[in-house]
Order: sequence, then C-alpha cells, then structure tokens
Amino acid sequence: MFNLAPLSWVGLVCWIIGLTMAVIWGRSFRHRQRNLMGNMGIYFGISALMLVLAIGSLAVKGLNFGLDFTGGTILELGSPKMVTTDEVQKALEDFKAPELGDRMVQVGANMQTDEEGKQYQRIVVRVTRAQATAEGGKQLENKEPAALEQHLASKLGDLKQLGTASIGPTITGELRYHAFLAMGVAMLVQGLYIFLRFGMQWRYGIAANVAILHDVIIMVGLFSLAGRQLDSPFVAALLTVAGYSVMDSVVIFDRIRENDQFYGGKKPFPEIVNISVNQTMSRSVNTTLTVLITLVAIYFFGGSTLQNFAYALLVGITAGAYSSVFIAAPTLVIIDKYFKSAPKATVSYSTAVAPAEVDPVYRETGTDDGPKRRRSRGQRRRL
Amino acid sequence: MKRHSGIWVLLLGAFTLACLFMIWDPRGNKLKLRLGLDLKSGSHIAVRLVEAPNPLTGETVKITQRVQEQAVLVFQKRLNPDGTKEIVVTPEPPDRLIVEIPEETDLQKAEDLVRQAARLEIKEPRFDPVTKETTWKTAMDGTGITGAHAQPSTDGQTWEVVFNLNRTASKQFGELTRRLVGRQMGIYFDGREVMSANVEEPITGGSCRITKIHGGPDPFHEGKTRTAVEEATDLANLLSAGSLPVDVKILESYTVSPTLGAQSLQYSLTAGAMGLGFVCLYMIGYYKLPGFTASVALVIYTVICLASMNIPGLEFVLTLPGIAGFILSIGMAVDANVLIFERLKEELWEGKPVAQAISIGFEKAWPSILDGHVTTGFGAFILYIFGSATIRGFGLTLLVGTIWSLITATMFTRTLIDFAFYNLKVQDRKTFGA
Repeated sequence: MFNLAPLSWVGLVCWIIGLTMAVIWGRSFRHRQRNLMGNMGIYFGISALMLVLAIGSLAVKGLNFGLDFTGGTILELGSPKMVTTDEVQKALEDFKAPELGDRMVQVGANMQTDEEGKQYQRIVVRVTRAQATAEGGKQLENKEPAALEQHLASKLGDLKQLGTASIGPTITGELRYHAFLAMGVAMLVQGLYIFLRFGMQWRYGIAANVAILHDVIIMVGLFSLAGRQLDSPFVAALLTVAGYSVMDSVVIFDRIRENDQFYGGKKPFPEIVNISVNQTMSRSVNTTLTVLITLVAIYFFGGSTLQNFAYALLVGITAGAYSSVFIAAPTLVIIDKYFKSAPKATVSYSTAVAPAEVDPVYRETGTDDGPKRRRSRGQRRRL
Repeated sequence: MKRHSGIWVLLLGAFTLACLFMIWDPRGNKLKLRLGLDLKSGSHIAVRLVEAPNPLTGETVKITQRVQEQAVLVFQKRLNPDGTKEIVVTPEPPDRLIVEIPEETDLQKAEDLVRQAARLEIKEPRFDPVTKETTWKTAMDGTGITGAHAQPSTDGQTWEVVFNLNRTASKQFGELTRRLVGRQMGIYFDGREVMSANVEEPITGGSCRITKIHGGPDPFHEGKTRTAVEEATDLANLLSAGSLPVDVKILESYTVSPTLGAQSLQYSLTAGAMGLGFVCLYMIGYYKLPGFTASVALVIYTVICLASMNIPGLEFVLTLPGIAGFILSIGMAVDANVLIFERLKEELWEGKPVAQAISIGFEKAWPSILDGHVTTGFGAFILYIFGSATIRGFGLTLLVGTIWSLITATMFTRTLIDFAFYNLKVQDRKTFGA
C-alpha cells in the first residue's frame, strides 16, 4: 500500500507542502485584503505562458492517443522474473502472424504480489496490426492475441495473463465523436445556465467559458507534455474539470452579484470584484484543497490504472481554481471596462480596500453620469 | 426544527443504519457491492448485429428490436446452457449487444460462441440435366428446432446429436424425406457440412439424428482436440439455443483476470478511504465543530451513495471509473460545507451571535451551493447521456453523488449542528471557529 517509488515520495511531499502553503495563503485573507485585480497583467501573463507551453507541446509533441482512440490490442501480462522493455520489444520483433504495426511496451518498475502471494511484474504490450482488416480495424482478431501471448511466453518464459483488450474502428470513431459532442453540449448548457441564473447577463457566461477554455487547453497541453496516454477516462476528466471550473467561478460570481447589488453605484465595478474575490478567497482555496486531497490520494495510492485519470484532474482542477480567481474575475472586469453595460462612478481604488503602497490601477476616465447600476433582481439586504 | 433536532438526529441515524445494512452484511462482515467486470474478473464483448439474407427466402433480415431481443435470448442460452452463471447480455440501441461473462477469462472461447450464427440448414441435391452438375439447395432451416441433446451411439464408438422439431417443421421434414427417399440429404451448420446421408425411409416422427461424431480439432482452441462427447455437447448446445437470423461482428472485447480485478478494487478502495480520511481530518482541523459535523455527514454521504448503487432493480454497477467519480464527489461534497462554514466564520467575525451566524451561513451559502451542484450535475448528466460505457459509469456515480451531496451537505449538516448547539449545548464561539 505504501510501497511508492522514491520519485513518487518526492512528488507526494511536494504536493503536501504546496497544499499547506495554499492554506496559509488562503487564511491570510482573513486579516488583510489584497489588491488582486490590480495585478491583472501578471495573472494573464502567467496564463499566457502556460497556454504557450501547452499549445507548443501540442504542436511539437502532439498527443499520445490511447487504445480507446486508436484501436488495437493490449495484452497485460505478469512475469515471475523481471524483464526490461527492450527484452519485450525484441521478443515482439519476430512475431509475424500478423505483421505488427505500432508496438508499445511498458513494464512495471517493481514486483507486485497477487492474490495467491506470488510475485509478478506487470507488462503491458500495446500493438496494432500493420495491415488493417477489411473494416479498417487495427486490432488483433480471433486467435491472434493468444498466439502473440504464446509467442511472448516462448521468448520471455512463463507468463501469466492479467487481461486483454481489443478495440475496433467503430468504437474509436464513436468515442471521438461523443467526446467532442459531450464537450460542446456541456459548455453550451452550462453557459446558458449561468446566463439565465445571472439575470440574463451574458458577460458572466462569457467569463466562465473563457475560464473553461483556459483550463481545458492547459489540461490537454500538460497531458501532451507529460507524454501520458489519452484514453476515454480523460474525456470524463475533461468534462469534470469543465463543470468544476464553472462551479468555482459561479461562487465568485454569486458574491460579485451580491456585492454589486449591495454597493449599487457607490463603488466602481473593479473594486466590487476585488472585494468579492478577497471575501471568497479562503473558500476558493479550501474547496479546491478538499478535491485536490482526494485526487492526490487517487494519484499516489489508486494504482496505475487510475493514475492518468488522477493526473488529468490534478492539472485541470488546479488550473480551474486558478482561472476562476485570476482569469474569470479579471475577464469580467475587462468586459465591464470595454463593453460598458452600465455607467459608473469615477472612482479610483479606495484606500480602505487597496493597501496604500499599491498603485491604484483602475482610474476610470468616464464621467459620473446616470443612475445606479442595473439591478436584475430587487436589491438584497445584506445581513 | 430547533427543538426537534434530537428526533431528526434519531431519524438520520436510523436511515444511515438502513443504508449501511444494504451494503454490508454483518454476519459475514462482507461488503455487498455490485462490482463491474473490471473490479472482479471476466470477459466483456461488444457486438454489432449485421443484416444477413434469409437462407430460405433470400430476403434481407433487418435489425429490429425483435431481432435484438431474439439475439439476447440466443446468447443467454448459448453462453449459459445450464443457467447457473451470471451472464449479462444487454441490448443497446440501435444494433448492439453487450455480453458480460463474469469469471470467464477465456476470451477466445467466449468470442467464438458469440460469433457463431448457428444456422442449421437442411439441403437437398438438385440435378441440373443441362450442365450435368448437382447443386445443393436449402430446403429447410433450423428455426423449428425445439431441443437437442447429445447421446452415445448404439455401437458405443461415436456420439450423436438428436434434435426435435416442432409440428410444422416435422411435417415439412417428413415431406422432404419422402421426396428424397433413395437420394442424399445434407445437413449444414453455418455453411459447413456436418453430415450427408442417404435417406432410407421418410422421417415423420419429428426427431432427427446427426450421427458419427467422433471428435476432432477444437475450433475454440488452437492445437487442441475435442473428444466426441465434447463435440456432440457443443453442437447440441448451439442447436438448442437456436440460431441467429443475422450475422455478428465483434466491435470490442476485453478480459480482466482475478489478479488485476482484485488489485484494482484494493487500490481504489484504499485511495477512497485515504481521500475520505484526509478530507475529514482537514475539515475538523480547519473548521472545528462544524468541520466535525461535516465529516459525519460525509461518512453518511458515503454510505448512502454506495447504498443507492445497490438499489434492487436498478442496474447500477460499480466500475473502476465509477469509483474514481465517487472519490472525486467526496471532495466536491464538502465543497458546499466549506461555503457554509466560511460564511459562518465571516458572520462570527462580524460579531454576530452563534445561533444567528449559523442560520445566516446556511441561508446565504445556499444560492452558490445550488448553482455549483446544478452545473456539476449538468456535466455528469451529459456524460451519462453521451458517453461511452466507461464514461457512463463515471457520469452516473458523479450524478448520484451530486444529488445526495446537495442533501447531506445542507440538511444533514444543519441537523447535526443544530443538535450540537441546542441539545448538547455546545455554544462556545471558539468551537465554531471564531
């Protein structure tokens, strides 16, 4: 249960330190408010850097599509003695029935114990056939997987079958189609929900969707950078992150809306956003943290099958937490600035909110004209 | 609610206990969870039914719901001739069948059983006087077979398969054999000649024998042979299960060995327990008493969610992606509590009395909680609708988790906090995190 590789221990410790620091940082908002919206340039800069890294990796390295997407056959075998990737690759070379196309081999770093107490090393062999079948399939058929297994056993010695999987072209085609469809529908429905929920104000929906896009691109990009295999649970992870990102943004938006109604036109919108983000910071950190705790548990202790999935979610949810505070909220401010949906007061940051040494960034040049800000639902009393 | 918190807590306890007994058997100290193939062992095959011509009429048999249902029955009988195994064959619109065979790790045999159309044809020779060639024409098919069994032949050397025909078919068969007296008749199985024999006299009794089965190469296993008994039994099983009117194509298949299944289960349960444990510790450490009540609610949530997956009649199965979705939902379930308690703390810092802070905390956090759950719920629902099988399991557990967490995180936690505050008289501001 706790037999982690040394590198994993380092990773685990890093995560624990990182999460602890996040808690301390989140707690500090209890004592003082920060001018978060004043450093928008830095946040967008960090995100731009990550996006460049992600897109660059996608362009250069591309994605490592898993069996679900490419089709083919996987053999999972247990070997009683340690073998290396090269040994397995060599054994695969002279298998000719049928001729193999792609050959990918992964071997476990250490021995594992099965239910009978025997030691084995896990070997995963993923192959496609060189010549596609009549239907365009790349998987091994009928007796071919068994033949391959026997062939490997004759080269590597006694092997135990742990599992096999063959996926044909129909399934892979459908999976791709469904993945895109689900993603599109999810973004649309969630955007629409926010639009309706926030009194028909499209800027909230747009800001939330900007954050989703940001998270999804970073998630796919870092997956490509890590060279991990993209399989169907990844699609599920992608949609979960989209949902989570919206949820995270919605909580901040809720507070913005509440404060907006409370302060009316007394404070400029950027300041209202800043107050709201400050008030919800401790909550943002804590909700993300509880999810990350469970994900760290899955990643380090959930076994190799769930590791890709947990990795995707760790990246996505961290990005999601970052983006709802540092991308979604600033985007709202920018939309408000350039697409004036309502007239507002000429106010610079009030000293009560921004520390004196921080340069006030929002100096609205517009004139103080017109009535109070739009109010979708009657003004709520803050208790 | 305030004065009756005690009753509510009792009801809550009873409900939790009932749920607990749905998933846990105290006598054997065993968890009663319906596990998917990936967490135990077995084979999974997804097939597509493909249109095929009817051998008698030459018409194309379209894939309808009826054909699909017929195929489900045929597969059930073929894979499970004595009805003792837990084989699940699920039709999936428009033309799919998912076959799941627990504990079967011989994927090849299962695939072969599924792939066979098992069409029996009885053919008669037609002599063409012009070309002077004999062609075989299908005179009957196997739809009239009511049952088949294997038996040793009278000489004790070989085996034979006897199959019985229903009334129309036996009448048809009688006419055919009357016509063919003194000539040859051929019995074909999936286009392969099983036997041809001289018809000596008309057969009108409605039963027919395929004789002289003496074993041979096993089509299910490379390099192995079947004995006469095995071959006869296989044939009898296929015949009595009935034939498929259509062809079958395998789309996807996998097996999981007991080793791998047990390991996945152990790992995912470990991860789940650790996730739950750490989240509870964190909540108690950060939010004190409210955190503790949230932890209790979280444990209740876990039990209820697992019990919901066990509701009889609903075909919920716990798969590996499902467990991952569930562990994730534990992290998200406390989300609502974090929202409430943050608000509670804020109100306490502003100097409000505890009782007021509690009700404001719950009241003010509600819109955000609802928004969050609705958006996550939408996502999970879309996954369930549009996803492939693996993703669907994940979407379903996430959806069930989202619905329950909305209730446990608000109502249940509120009940527990009220109970602690009004009944147990824990009213110190510090214990509420001020």
